[in-house]
Amino acid sequence: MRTHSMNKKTIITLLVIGIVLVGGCFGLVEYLSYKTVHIVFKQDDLAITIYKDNNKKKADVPSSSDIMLKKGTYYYTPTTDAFSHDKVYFTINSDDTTIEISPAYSSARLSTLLSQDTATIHTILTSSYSMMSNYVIADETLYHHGEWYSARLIERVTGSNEPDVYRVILQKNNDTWKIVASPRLVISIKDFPNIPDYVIRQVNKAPSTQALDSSRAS
Amino acid sequence: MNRSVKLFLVGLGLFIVLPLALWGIISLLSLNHTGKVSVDITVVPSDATIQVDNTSFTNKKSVYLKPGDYSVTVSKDGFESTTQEITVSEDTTAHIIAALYPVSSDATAWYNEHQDDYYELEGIAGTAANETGQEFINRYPITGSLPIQKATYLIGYKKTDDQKNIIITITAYEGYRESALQEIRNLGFDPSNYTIEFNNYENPFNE
Repeated sequence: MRTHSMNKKTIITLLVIGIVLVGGCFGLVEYLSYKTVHIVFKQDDLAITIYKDNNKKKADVPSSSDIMLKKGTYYYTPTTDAFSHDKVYFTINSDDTTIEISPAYSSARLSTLLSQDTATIHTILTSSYSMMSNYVIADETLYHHGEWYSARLIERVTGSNEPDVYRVILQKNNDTWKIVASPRLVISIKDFPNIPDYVIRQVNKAPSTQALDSSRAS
Repeated sequence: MNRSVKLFLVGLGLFIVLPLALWGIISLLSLNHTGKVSVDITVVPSDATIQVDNTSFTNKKSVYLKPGDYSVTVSKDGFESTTQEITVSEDTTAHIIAALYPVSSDATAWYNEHQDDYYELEGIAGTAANETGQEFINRYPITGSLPIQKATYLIGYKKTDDQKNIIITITAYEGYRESALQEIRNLGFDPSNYTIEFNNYENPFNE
């Protein structure tokens, strides 16, 4: 009887130890799966929310700080109006990672910046190309932090004639604008490896109806 | 030596030494072809001499060459030699296909007796051309939709001088160049990805 009771006690003890060990292992694996992520804000007035790639919210990050995330793919979106709310994806691998947060400005902010620089850019274009009076500067766009500018130069035409459309890209460096892709019908990504693809792809799109209309009206 | 030892040695030979020897031979063969691509050879007459750059050989069905451009000359006494340029790359199939035509009376007699060989080669050449054309379209999908000819523009393509890429060519009436670009967009291709040349056109901004 006593032996039977001993056996039962031993079995329960072993079971408890086993459960604790297994639980401990799971706990350790779970703990080790988290990595320290150094979130470094490269812009002022910025706050972000981080989501897992399945859209599950993981953390609100109001300033540069260290957070714990598991390995995997995440994205963040700025929560302040000054920045574009586009998703920016990043991946956490096995090592501790530093994520630099430098999202593009919001459309409204870029629009304000563009209005401040339009006169300067137009002066550069008209002083660089004597035939600019034959073209309407249209579809002007600033990108990222306002350091890239693109426009379509629409030939002024009359009647039912179709205009030629030229694309031009400028870059702002040290507060100075410079033409980096001179006007041409198409800008090839291969020819301009230093210009972000998204700028070239955007300017190579079809001109807006408004732009085409302006080439006839003026 | 007793019987069991003999059996053991035979077993050792069959199950260990033989596979090892085979593995060694296969490794040696594959070592020679490392980084090379198989190029099929079909020539008529089949015993013609094939010279690839500075190396000559005869009676081979294929040859392994490193990716690159080669000048291939196929020749045989009594037949007119032919030279062709081939490009060998890892993602396309290269062929050496050549039919030599007679220039001597003996060769003409041979030619008359082997007409079937020439017909067969024509079939192989046609198949190879189709394969090459399909590979080219797979590599540059836009070429599958070109040329496009409309009343106001013509969109085509040509290979770059090094034969490694393509240039889209547009010939358009003034004012219809944007329409040609729109045609490319409508096909689902982004003009940004291509080098595009406009024929009979001068950029007014190139002062």
